Amino acid sequence: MSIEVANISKTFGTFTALKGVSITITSGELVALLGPSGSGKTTLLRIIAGLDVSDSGIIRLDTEDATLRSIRERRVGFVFQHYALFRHMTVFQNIAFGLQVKSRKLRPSKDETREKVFKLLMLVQLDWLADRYPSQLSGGQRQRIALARALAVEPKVLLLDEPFGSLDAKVRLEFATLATQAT
Amino acid sequence: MGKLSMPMNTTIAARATLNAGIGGGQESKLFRWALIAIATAFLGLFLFAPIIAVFAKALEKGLSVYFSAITEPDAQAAIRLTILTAAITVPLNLCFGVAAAWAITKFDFFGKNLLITLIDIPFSVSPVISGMIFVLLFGAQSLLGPFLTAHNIKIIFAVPGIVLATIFVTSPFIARELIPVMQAQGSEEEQAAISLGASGWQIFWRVTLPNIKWGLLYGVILCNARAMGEFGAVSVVSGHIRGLTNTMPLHVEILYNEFQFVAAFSVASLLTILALVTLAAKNFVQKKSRQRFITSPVEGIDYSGVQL
Repeated sequence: MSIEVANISKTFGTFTALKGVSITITSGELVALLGPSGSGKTTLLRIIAGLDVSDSGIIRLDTEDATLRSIRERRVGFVFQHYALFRHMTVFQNIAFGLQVKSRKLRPSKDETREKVFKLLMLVQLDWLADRYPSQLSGGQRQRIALARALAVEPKVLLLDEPFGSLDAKVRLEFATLATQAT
Repeated sequence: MGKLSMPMNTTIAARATLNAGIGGGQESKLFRWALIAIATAFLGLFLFAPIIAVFAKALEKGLSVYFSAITEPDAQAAIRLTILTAAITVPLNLCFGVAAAWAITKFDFFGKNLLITLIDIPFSVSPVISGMIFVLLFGAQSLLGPFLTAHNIKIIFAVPGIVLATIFVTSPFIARELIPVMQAQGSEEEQAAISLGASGWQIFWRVTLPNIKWGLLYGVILCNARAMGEFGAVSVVSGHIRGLTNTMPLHVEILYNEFQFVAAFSVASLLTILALVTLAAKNFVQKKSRQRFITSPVEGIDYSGVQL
C-alpha cells in the first residue's frame, strides 16, 4: 500500500510538532524517518496510523483520502516505542488478540488462531516463550513479540516507532532482518 | 598486597557506616525503644482497646442475651435495611466510579478538572450537610415537596432517602481508588488494542478491566464498608422509624440512648466484625494486586523474585 502525506501540520498548544510535512512512500518500500528527539517522528507516525489527528493536510492510503478514516479502517500495524504489550496476557494471548477481537464472521477458529500465532512466533524465533508474561521478557524479546502481534492482523502498512531504541547492536541487526522479511 | 588491602578495608568500613546511616541505626537504643513503646501504646489505646471493649460489653450477659439482641425484629429490620442499602449503593457507585475514572484518565475534555473537583465534594463536606441537601431537595418544605406529596412518593424519612444519601456519601470511593491506578497505566495498551482492531467495548472488557480489577475490588470493599457504616447523612434523612428506616448504625445509637448498652454493643459488634472482615479482605486484595504478574506459568522456573 502506498502512503502519501501531504502538507501535514500539527501543533500541541503553542508547540509546533509538524509544519507542512509531505512525503510519498510507494508500495513495498522500506523507509526510515531519522531526526533528533523532539523532531516529530512519533507524531508523524501516529498521524499516519490514525492515533492522532493532524490540524491540516491530507493522508492518502492507496491514493484514497484517509485523513478522516478511523484507525481500524486504515489497517495500519503499529509497534509502539515502549511496546505496549498487554501486561495481563501471555505472549500467546497478546499475539492472538487482534484475531480474537475480529467480528464473528472474520474471526479464525481456535486451531487456525493457534497455528497463526505459532507461525509468527517462529518468525520472531520466540516460540518457546508462548506462555510467558511480558514482565518476564527482556526488552528485545518484548519488541519482537510486539512486532509479531502487529503482524497477526496482516496490516497493509507496518509502522515501527523507535524500533531500535532499546536494542543492542546484535539484536538490532536481527530485528532489521526480521522486519525486512516480514514486509 | 598490603597496600592494596588498605583502601579496600577503608571502603568496607565506610560502606558499613553509610549502611548504618541509611538503616537508621544512628539513633540511640533508648530513643528507639521509646518510639516503639509510644507507637504500641497508641495502637493499643486507640485500636485494640475499643475492639475488645465492644465485644466485652456485648457478651457481658452471656451469649443468649447477645443473640437475642441481634435477632429481635427491630435489629433484624436494621440489618436488612443496611444490606439493602449497600446492595443498591455499591453497584451504582461501581458503574459511576469506573465511568468517571475511565473518562478522566483516558480522555481529554473540557471541564475535566471541574469533574475531578466535583468527585471529591462528598469527601470534603460534613455528612450531616450531605443529608441536609437531600432534605432541602425532597423534603415537605422543598420545591419538589408538593409534587412528591401529591403523587404519594416518599423519599425523606423513607428508604429512598437513605439510599440516595448513602450513594452520595460513598460515591468518591471507587473513582478515587481507580484514578491513580489508571493514570499510572496510561493509555498505551488501549491504543495498541485500537490499532489491532478492537472496538471500544472490547478494549474495556479485555484490556482495561483486567488491568484495574484489583484496584476496583479494593474500591468496592471500601465503598461497601462505608455504605454499611454511614451515620451522619443517613441520620438526617432517616427519621429514625424503628423497624422501617433504621440502619444498623442508627439502631445502635437508639439502643445506646435508651441505656440498653448490651443490646447496643451487640449490634455494634456486628459492624466491628464487618470492619475486621473489610480489613482482612483489603489486605488480601493488596497482596494479590502486588503478585499478579509473578505467577509462574512455566513449570520448574521460579519467578517469585521477579520485580515489577
